[in-house]
Amino acid sequence: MQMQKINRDNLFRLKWAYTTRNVDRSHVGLLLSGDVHPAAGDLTLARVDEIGQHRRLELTTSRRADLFEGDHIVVAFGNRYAPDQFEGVVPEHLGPCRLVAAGGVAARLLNSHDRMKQATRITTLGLLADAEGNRLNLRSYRLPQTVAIDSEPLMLAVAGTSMNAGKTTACANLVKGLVRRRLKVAAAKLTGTGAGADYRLLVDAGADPVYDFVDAGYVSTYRISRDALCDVVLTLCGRLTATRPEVIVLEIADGILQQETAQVFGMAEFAGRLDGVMFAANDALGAQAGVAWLAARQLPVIGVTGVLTSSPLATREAEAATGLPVFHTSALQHSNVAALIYNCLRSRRRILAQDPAAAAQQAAAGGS
Amino acid sequence: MSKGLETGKVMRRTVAATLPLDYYLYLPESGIKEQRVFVTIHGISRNAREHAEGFAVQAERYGAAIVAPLFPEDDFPRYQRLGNSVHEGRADSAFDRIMHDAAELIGCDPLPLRGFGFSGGGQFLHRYALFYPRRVERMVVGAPGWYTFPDPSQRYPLGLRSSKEWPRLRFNPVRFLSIPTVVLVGEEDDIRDEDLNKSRRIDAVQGLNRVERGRRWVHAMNALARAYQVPAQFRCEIIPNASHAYESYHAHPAFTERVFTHLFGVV
Repeated sequence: MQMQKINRDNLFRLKWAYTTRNVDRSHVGLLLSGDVHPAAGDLTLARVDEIGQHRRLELTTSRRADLFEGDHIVVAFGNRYAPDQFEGVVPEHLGPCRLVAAGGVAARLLNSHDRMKQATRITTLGLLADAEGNRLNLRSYRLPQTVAIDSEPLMLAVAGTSMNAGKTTACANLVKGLVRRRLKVAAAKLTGTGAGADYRLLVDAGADPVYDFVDAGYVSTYRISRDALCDVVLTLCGRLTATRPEVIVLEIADGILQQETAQVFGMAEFAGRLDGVMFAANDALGAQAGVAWLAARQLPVIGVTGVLTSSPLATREAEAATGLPVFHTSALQHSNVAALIYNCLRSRRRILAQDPAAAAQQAAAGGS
Repeated sequence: MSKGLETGKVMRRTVAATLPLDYYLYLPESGIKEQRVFVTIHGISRNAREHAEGFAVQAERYGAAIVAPLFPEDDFPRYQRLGNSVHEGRADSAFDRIMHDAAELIGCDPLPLRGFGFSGGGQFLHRYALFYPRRVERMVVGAPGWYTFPDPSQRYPLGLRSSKEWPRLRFNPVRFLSIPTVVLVGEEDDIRDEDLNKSRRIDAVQGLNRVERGRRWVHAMNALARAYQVPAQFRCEIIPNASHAYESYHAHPAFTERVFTHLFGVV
């Protein structure tokens, strides 16, 4: 393994990806190269070799900077799960690999969607390390877990059939509607791959604070262990709760069949805290299957939303198939629609408080 | 019960007020049992007397008084939606005064209501229940032309959202959803007759006829009940051979009985 001192002045001329937004750049002292084995979350200096699907890199400020061949960028190694884009894993060695997410994820490409262009080719030149040669990993820049807080805000999760089902838009609209209702709303994206757009959208909608799994020290949640996933969930939910909001809105990325998403809903310590789940779907059949999946795990699904609501016919079919209210995604930002959802969550919380048997059932939710 | 009131006969009563209010009253010869009062609300033909007469047999069997308010067209042109606006032609206020008068007269309070409303009366009744869910115990809604859906993104009376005419509306879905409700629609009431509201928005959201609209409203209510985790209390039932004519409902032997069994149970 070779260690090479990094010129601090050069560091600030590099394009630092969104995934590195919590990193203290003054910690960077050395570049490790040669026989090193990257791990998820390790920071790497990479050179852009050939522009492909991702022509831009999302910076820490969320500005999407154009990439040019020969550019030097700082990204994180990570696993990527995106059925509409790429599947990638952390490579075993430094060297040529791909930029598999615009937020700044370097990975060995496994699969890509037919509609995707070639993933942008990069070469990872070395791992960033501090002056003592310790690798810099996102885990070092995570928020600490909080101690137990005497506060139980209402908690609503948004899940969906797949990526691009309308979850993020639904979350943002819901946050906006609740904020318009003068409620204090906090939000987080618990799983997925680091990308600023979703995070910023929640901020722009008025949630405060907003976190994502990057704040818990993970570049993505694909292929992380159950314990690590539990750590993400408890850290972010705990941090949000500590700010004493009235409502917490949580986005769970990808589809419910995705491994880590399914695991999140299987965690009793998470599922038992939920007051409601809103399900986003692309079509009525997906809505029916998703609602049935959630209901089978005794999760408190309260409604359907998402891309399907652009179609009145699909909306009607979904209402008939699920037996649940279907909320047009854009209607969620209306304060009275948000009020109905808020009242629904409160009502369910009250019912649980009055019914120990139902409360026990809810506490056991998720494990099916 | 007040002395001097005739039994076994439909009587017209007038409530003295700035705007006199009329209603029909029937007191069973068998006497009122268990404080039972049946309230029935006419459609746009405003045949309140027929309503009172049509349920007299059941009133005798069940020992129920009948109260049938009359909403004249000149005074209450939009009684179906409870009024022209929050300030004008408020049929719900008139209804409450009639209920109060009836309560004093017969010694039994019709509220919380066990009521039936046909067509425009069904519209009035379900909207009254939405506004005042604590005042309605059970209801049967007969073939309304259209409904207020529990959709907070649509303005009242299509949905629950406030408007310029109806500002600052507040609804309590949990209370409303807990009202056991039956929608009765005639099997042949799937014709787009002259009286049916055919606005594109209602056609698009609620359906093309009263059967579709009834089923969709009941479904929407049960869906909301599921979201709120309260037991679903809404049903839609079809009356064989009935069209939208009020008489065709009464022609079906089980119709009046079904209304009473839902409101008062099987006697």
